[in-house]
Amino acid sequence: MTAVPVDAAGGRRLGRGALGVALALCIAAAAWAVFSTGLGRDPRDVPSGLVGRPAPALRGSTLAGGTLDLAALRGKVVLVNVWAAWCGPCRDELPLLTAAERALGGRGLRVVGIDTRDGARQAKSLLATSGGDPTMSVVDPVGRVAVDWGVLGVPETFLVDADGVVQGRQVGPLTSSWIDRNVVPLLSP
Amino acid sequence: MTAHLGATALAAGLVAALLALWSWVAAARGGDARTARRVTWLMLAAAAGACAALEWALLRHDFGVRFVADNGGRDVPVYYTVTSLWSALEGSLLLWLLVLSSYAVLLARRAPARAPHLHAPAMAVVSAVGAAFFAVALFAGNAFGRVTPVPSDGPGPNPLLQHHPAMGVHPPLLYVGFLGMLVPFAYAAAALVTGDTSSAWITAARRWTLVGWSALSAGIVLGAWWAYAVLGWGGYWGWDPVENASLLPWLTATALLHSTMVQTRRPTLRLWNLSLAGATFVLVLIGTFLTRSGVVASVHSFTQSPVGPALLAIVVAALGGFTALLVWRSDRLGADVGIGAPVSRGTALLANNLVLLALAFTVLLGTVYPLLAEALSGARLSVGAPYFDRMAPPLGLALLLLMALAPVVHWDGDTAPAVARRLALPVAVGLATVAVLGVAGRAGVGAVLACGLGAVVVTGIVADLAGRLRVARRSGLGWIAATSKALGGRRRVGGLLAHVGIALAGVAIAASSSWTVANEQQLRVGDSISAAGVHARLVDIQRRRTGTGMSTRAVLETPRGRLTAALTFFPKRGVLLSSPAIASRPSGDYYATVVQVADDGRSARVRFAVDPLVPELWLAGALVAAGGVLAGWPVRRRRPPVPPVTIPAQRELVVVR
Amino acid sequence: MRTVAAAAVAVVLVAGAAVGLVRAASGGAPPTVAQQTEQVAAGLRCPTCAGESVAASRADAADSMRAVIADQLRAGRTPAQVRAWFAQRYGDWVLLDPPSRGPGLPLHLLPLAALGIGAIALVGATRRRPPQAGVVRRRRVPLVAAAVTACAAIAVAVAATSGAAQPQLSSAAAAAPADGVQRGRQLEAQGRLEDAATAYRAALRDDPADEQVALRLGFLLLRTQHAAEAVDVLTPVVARNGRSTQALLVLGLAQRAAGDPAASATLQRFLALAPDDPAAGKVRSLLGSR
Repeated sequence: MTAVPVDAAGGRRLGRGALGVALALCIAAAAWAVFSTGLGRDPRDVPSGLVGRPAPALRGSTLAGGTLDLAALRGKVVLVNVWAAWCGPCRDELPLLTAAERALGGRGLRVVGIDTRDGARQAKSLLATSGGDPTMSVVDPVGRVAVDWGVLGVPETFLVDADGVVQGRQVGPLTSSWIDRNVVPLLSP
Repeated sequence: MTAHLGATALAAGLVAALLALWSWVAAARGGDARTARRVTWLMLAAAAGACAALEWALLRHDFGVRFVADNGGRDVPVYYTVTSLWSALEGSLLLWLLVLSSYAVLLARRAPARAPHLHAPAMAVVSAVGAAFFAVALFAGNAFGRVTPVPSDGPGPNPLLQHHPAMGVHPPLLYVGFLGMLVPFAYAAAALVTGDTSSAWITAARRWTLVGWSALSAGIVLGAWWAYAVLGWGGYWGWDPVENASLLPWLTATALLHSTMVQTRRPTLRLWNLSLAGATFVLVLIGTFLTRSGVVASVHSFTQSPVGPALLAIVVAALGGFTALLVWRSDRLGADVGIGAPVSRGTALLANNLVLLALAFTVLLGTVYPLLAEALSGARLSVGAPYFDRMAPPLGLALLLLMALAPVVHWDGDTAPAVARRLALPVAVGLATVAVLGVAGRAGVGAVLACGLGAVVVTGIVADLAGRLRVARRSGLGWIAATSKALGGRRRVGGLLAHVGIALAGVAIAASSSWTVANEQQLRVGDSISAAGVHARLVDIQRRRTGTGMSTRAVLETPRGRLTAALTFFPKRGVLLSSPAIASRPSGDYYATVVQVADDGRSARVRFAVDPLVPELWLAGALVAAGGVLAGWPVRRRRPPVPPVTIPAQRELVVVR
Repeated sequence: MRTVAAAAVAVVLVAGAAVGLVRAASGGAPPTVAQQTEQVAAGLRCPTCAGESVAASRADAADSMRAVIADQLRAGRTPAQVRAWFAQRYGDWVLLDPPSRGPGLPLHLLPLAALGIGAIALVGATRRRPPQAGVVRRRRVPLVAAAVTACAAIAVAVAATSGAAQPQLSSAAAAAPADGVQRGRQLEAQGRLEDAATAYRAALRDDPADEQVALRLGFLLLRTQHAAEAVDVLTPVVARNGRSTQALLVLGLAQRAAGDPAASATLQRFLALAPDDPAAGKVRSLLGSR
């Protein structure tokens, strides 16, 4: 083994100590930066794959027995609302949707529903009490339509502009401020 | 009242841990260890007091305490009320503290015989970790917070955690395993701080590492069994982040157990072993953090809380501190001698380390990658079972191969032809196994290879034992004495048992992953479902409303008797619990679950599977744990014979006469 | 003679094993649609569960997704196409094995790289000649340490400047409607009661029908001595849901604190509905003292 002169060893040890502390700090900072992403974040806050792309086809029989085709509503701004009668927050947001359609319908807003994994009887009675329109809700008993739209859960609402492109997605119940911020700018004045 | 007692106990624990740290540092500088030992007992008393306080609050249904309000319930059976202590975040921290303090007290009792100078510094490290966790439990975890107005009842623990008595065993066992890894960490840090470059720290920590390793092995296998038999999604390992968190320290601890065998024979791999000891406990801390912070989505993870950042701080402190210590002191180590000849046991053990660490790296990367990708590029990704199922098996096969090779290679250099000759019989058996399985129609190259390699390992062990037995008999010993000589002592037998267990586990895992046949079908009463030629007929569908839930049972008639699978829905918590029905035989399990029930209750969607060799997996887990315990079992040290005392007077008398 | 016999046995065994492996590689029976569905489902993440796969989950969304997968497989799509279809709709995070292009590339390369580096190190270690290597090693450790430091520093700098972490956090904060209650609870837990009240008020403004928010806000206002406002918040709740014992209790206490004569009537209603509530004893003594 090569002998190391004493004073050089002392100086080298100091240098090693400083290096060690510097290395430790860097590793610590890197570990903190990586692991703290996601601390305090809402796990449902995931981006939709559909925003900015043409809306998927939406065609099917409605709660009233007729048929509905989203493509027929091209030229209108459409809120596609995924809901179910057994879902509490969906029940709470229905009045808001009905009111929005009444207020902004003249400016080109339409509301279309996807009634997913639901019982038809309960759904129809809920719409009757809240003033919703059963001819505007597509029935989706197995949930295939919801999967087609990349739906995470109920309630969920997609904003489709007049050209049929998805412009936004809200996970959870709608609020009037969301409508003001996202929907109103797309409507005709 | 109870809440105040509990919070006081936690505060007392923090003070005791800090005092213990102070006292052990003083003892390391030449002071008396007795004070430090007493203060360590105080730490245990405080942890036990806090646990007792929370258990008391749970058992008395004191819903004014926040933890009880969130996790207690009047209609929960007593056993599950007791286990609900560790069913949620804040209480689990208290159990963690109890196990940590128990280790501290047991370690404090006696300094290790061959390394007494490392004892006090190691105890100081243990006390520091204890203080950190007491601080987290006291300030960030809010087990004893008050709730007003006091609710009249609570929701009870998650129904998934009230379903089986094993809930009382699995988390404590895992914690014993995790905290066992604190011992090599503490002794490694002590060796670095005192500048001791020998393998004394390894000898001092060895038994404790084995205790922790055995407990961790048992805990992991028990967790897999729980997922299979109680949770009922059909498998036993989902590469869930919390499962990975328990696997990572096990992998590095296994590597540590093997590479320290090299260092005890010759002064090499010293920096490597110190780093491994540090990495193992840091992985335990990272796992604790991942489980409790909610940063990675997992079915097991506790809810988000301020405990998350606090635990991250502990991880970062431990990682940074140990790294600094390593770099600062690594010059003391000097040069390592070589590992040995290219073909030698040392090389084989180093290869074992390489494979184990590559596997650990892959699992860690996959688990943490969603965080990493988001931190560096903002992309949201998920990494799940398909990724790990692709990356892990080749490394597992490499590990089995090394397990077959390494015990046969001599320590002091060997030649390839000599090794080949020793392996001839085991390899022949392995090739025959591969041939038979492949020709018999078993699909999957990996699975067939795994069975072949497992056969090589077991045959090698048996052949080696037989050879030693023959030598011992030839030297004239009776059967019992010869067998005991051939087995070679507890360390050897323990290691062999653990190897047999791992080989069996490898075969069982390969068989059950590749050759499981499952079928899912909508059945009405009287219909049949079949898998792998086994028919199961649905004979009854029963619906029942229990106190807290609605359950539907499907009764299936199979060649092994009646199986009743149930699906229970707990509306208060929105939890769906699927209870599988399992019929076990040595060849495999019949596994039935109810996936869905039609609204009219007249038909049910049933999944029926035939899972080969799953019971062998549980047996393998038991063998591995038993092997570890046996290897670490203390040997009664025979006292050296006392030399005769010569009394000068007698000699004079003789001379005079 | 013995070596010839041994060689013959060896040849037979190796040949047999080779045949076996070839047969194993050619796979068993082709998978049915149900088995293929389970395989594809095992590679997709259930969007409403915490990390479970679609195959393992019993959630409604998972059931629907399995039905869609089965439909598409029956229509003749390959598993890869089905997975790509889902990734288009949900985003890449729905795939449990990320695609190897783009941000997922290091995930597939790094393990191989680690194994390679380890193998090289292993070979180097076994080739090491003892004495001279010592000197080289001692000088090497600081170099290695410096290299690792540099890499770590670069990683930290990239992480910090990518700024990706910041927008995520702020967008989470901006999603106020769903998070208002959560934020309020966090602020409450931190002891910032006035800020918590503001958060609850905002949440309540966005959604006036949310009883839970109203209850929390009412109770918080009572604790912070704003009893009159608490009464205003809670009266509509009780009007809507006359059987909510918690609302009646807090409203009654708030009315009493504000000097409202309706307090005893409200508290009586609470006692009538929940005579065994732990708070009932205190309420009775309060009423008794009047």
